[in-house]
Amino acid sequence: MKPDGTSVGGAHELCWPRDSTADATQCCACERVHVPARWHRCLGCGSQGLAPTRVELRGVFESWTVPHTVEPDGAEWALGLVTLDAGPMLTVRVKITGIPLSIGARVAGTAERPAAGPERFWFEVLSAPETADAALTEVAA
Amino acid sequence: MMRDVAIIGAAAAPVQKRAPSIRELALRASVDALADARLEHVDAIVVGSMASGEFTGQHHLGPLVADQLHLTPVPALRVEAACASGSAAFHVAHVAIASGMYDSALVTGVERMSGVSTAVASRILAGAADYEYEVEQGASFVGLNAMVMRRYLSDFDVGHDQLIQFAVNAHRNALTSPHALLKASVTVDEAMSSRVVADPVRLYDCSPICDGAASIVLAADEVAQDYDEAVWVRGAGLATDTMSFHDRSDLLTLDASRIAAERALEQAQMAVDDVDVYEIHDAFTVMTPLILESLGLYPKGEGWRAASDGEIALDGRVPISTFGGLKARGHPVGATGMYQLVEATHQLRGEAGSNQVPAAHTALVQNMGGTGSTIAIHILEATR
Repeated sequence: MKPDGTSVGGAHELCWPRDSTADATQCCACERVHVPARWHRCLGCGSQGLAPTRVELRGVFESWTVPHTVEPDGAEWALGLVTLDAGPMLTVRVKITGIPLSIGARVAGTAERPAAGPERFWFEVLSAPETADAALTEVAA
Repeated sequence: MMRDVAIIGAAAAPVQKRAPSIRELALRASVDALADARLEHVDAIVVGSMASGEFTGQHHLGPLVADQLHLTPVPALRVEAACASGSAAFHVAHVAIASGMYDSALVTGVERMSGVSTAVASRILAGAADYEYEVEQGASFVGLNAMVMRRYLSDFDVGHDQLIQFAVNAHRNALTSPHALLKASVTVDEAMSSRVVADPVRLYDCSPICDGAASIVLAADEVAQDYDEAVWVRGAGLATDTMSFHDRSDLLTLDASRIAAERALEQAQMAVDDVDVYEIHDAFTVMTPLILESLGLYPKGEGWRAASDGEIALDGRVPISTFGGLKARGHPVGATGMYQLVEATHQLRGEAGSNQVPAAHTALVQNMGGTGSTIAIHILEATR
């Protein structure tokens, strides 16, 4: 943002819904999901405030791979790509549960911002693609 | 008015598993390229390297090379664009000569990756992706390519064994390549039974971590016209895309590659089908069809057919990886673009020996930084 309040080309400042449990929090300018550890002001709507530390997200699985790096606690997870219901795609960590990973599966997760460092996106598979509608109903209920 | 620029000297050091030092690597390729050009002095030096500081502790490569060549106080600097650092350095030198600033320049791409463990190297290489939003979620470069590969196989109903044929072709050409690292033929069955690195990517889908350096001497037309073997730079295209895969409108489209190719081909006043040799950034087998599609050589989702139909052989319609490519020649990241340009130069001079593409007169060199975030494309043409 320039001193006169006009936009700087290419800059992404952020707009956050007041309800931190919304499906996605995203920038009005770039539609990308962030959890920044800073104050923000949106170039699109002018709103400003402090980002929530935890938001809930839902979406559809686009692809995955089992990572060849392993957490110290031994938890099993896969690297995944998820398109959020709100539109943007994210690179996330997917916890390995009993439901097989497959493209098109419904997934849900959280974005959490620690006290220091970048946010992490943790997801779990809700349902395989063929039962996606049922899972949506369950979540809504 | 931009001046015409040509390659008047080219040399590549053998790609190695463990080279003694980055200094020695850079010096060997640089001296050989200057000797090939029959020059003892140039107006400028540009060095391409992705992460020499992280891999070896040595930053400040411009004056290091100038000093070792006893060419100080010649202007010298380093250029970084991840795995496209070599081509980016070439691009900078080309622009500087075309503009009239300098009449000649030495361009050297160098990387010594063997001084760190594979785990540390993977972490350094991952820095070419979006660190906060990809690497911090656990992504490595292999992991990112694995997700794209899974999607390619799924969307276009392609078998893994069809993609692995790109690796088989690369290894076949490396057998007779004087500077290739992996001079061993491999069958589809052997490649398909190699260990899984990041599902579905197997070992033979990946290019190796290694050390290498390659150099070129560029000169303005008034100098280059005295060289019968000069190879002219007819087109240069550089383009960028989002840092992360997940910010792309389509996971399976390399827009920057398409745009850079359009720019370079327009400058060269050529169509992509006019090109005789294609050196492309085959760092992972899935990247090859994506690149071939981005260049307009195949429709979307059909680039994989290039290997199955035999069109990528040395005498095929689209010869690629003619000296082994990144897969088998090796991928010393910041040096790779310069290896590609040196190999294309050898092809256009008719000096490629057993790896010669018949009647090669034009070449397209495509070099990629990150997951397609930087693309550099150059079109070269022989004098003869």
